Amino acid sequence: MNRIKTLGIRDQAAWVRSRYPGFRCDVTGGLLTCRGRLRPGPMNATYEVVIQYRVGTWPKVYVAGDQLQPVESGGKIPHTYAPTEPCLFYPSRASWRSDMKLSHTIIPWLSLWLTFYGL
Amino acid sequence: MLLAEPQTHTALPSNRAEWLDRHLVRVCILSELTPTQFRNAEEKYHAVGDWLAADGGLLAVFAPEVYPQGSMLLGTTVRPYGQSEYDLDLVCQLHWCAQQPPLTIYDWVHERMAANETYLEMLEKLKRCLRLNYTGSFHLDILPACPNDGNGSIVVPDRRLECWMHSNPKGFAAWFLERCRLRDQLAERMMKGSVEPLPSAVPSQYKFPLQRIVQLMKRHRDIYFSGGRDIARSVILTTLAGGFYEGQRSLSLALEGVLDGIHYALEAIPTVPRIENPTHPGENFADTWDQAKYERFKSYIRNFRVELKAVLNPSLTEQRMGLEKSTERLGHLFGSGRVNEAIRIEANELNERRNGGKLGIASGGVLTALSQVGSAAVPRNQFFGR
Repeated sequence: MNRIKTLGIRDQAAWVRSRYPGFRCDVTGGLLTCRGRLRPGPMNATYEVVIQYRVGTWPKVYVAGDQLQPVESGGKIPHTYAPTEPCLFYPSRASWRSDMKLSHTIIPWLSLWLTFYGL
Repeated sequence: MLLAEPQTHTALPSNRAEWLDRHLVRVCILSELTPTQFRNAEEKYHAVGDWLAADGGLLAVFAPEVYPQGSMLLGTTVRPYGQSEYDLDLVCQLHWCAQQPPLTIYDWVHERMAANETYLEMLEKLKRCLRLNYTGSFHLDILPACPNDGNGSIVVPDRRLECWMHSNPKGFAAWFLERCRLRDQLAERMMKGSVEPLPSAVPSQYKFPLQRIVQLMKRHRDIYFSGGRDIARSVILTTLAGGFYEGQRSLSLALEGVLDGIHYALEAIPTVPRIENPTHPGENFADTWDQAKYERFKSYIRNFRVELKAVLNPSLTEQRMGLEKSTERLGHLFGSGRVNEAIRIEANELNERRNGGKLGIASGGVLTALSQVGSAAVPRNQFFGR
């Protein structure tokens, strides 16, 4: 089995900052929190998003406030864990591994998720 | 033959006008004849032409010539709102016949059509034309005509008034296509490779912005007037759109320009104006308008313009509401069923792009084509959860 080279938390932060200069990233006690704004396309709203990640866990993604609304009030938004928490990938090692960059996977997937949400 | 809109976009829209251009084209394609329906209609009209002109038939001596007119010739068909049947118009032009009484010509064409058992069952007499009902798909309106002079001008019998009416469908189409090609370099190049000055019919997939504008104006007209008796005639929409089009390549910006032009022109005229046939200046297309109909037409243009501008340049509040507010407005204009279907097609295309590994992302989080400079690939993923 191929060994994977886990990316450190500070490397992850640096990648996010370099690709998304508008994002603010903080590392506290091994927990990376990145906050920023995403607008996936010209017709979309701008969403405030938060990404949290600790090495050895699945990255978590939140859309701030009440920006996400189900089509029918009281209904559920497809592909979410909670009303503010999109599910971006199937939680298995085949989908996401700790050698992957948040900046190259989670953020693009979130942008795509928000596009489909908007449609 | 007239290719004016690129069908495969390598880039994703980078501004609202670009997004709207693609959305509006999808709405038009959903509203017009499918390629299969188009071929079917063409076959039917060739068969009618062959029957009318057949050797030994009643009309053979007049050498009838059958050709499409109206939206089929202009490439501006839309399915009537709430109906599944299209109107397609044909001219059956006889020769050496303008000295005959109008009703005689009409009756001759009717007699020839009725001599065919299949046509007899589908045939209906209308004021100026003979209608063949192909139930469930379309009807062909056959307009008997005689030449008026050598310039494509014809006269057609009016059964009710028992007189000849002037018309020039070929001349009008030539004017319209001239307007379509305004400042259009691409089309100029395409035209050089083509011999025929007029398309016998424009294939549904490729159209000029002006043809799309007329389709969209007809579509909103059908919804706004909801089948009422004062509904604005297509020829008026076509004439005004052609007159105010300034050659923009972006469909949405061209449509905005046309609506601005019509709006300001009409707001300056308080009483019913003449809307002249650009190829026959004596003819007033608005001759049935009274003040009430005119006011209603003005408010149709006003409403169209306001809604379109709100989609192109939304307020901050509406921007925050994202696509939802825009599709609501577009639904008012063109029908929410059609608009939602166009959005579904957009979602499918995005999915195909993602599955094909052709989706990229720019540094602001904006999704782009992978080919775009500075973009990084969006890796495949599977959204999870209910």
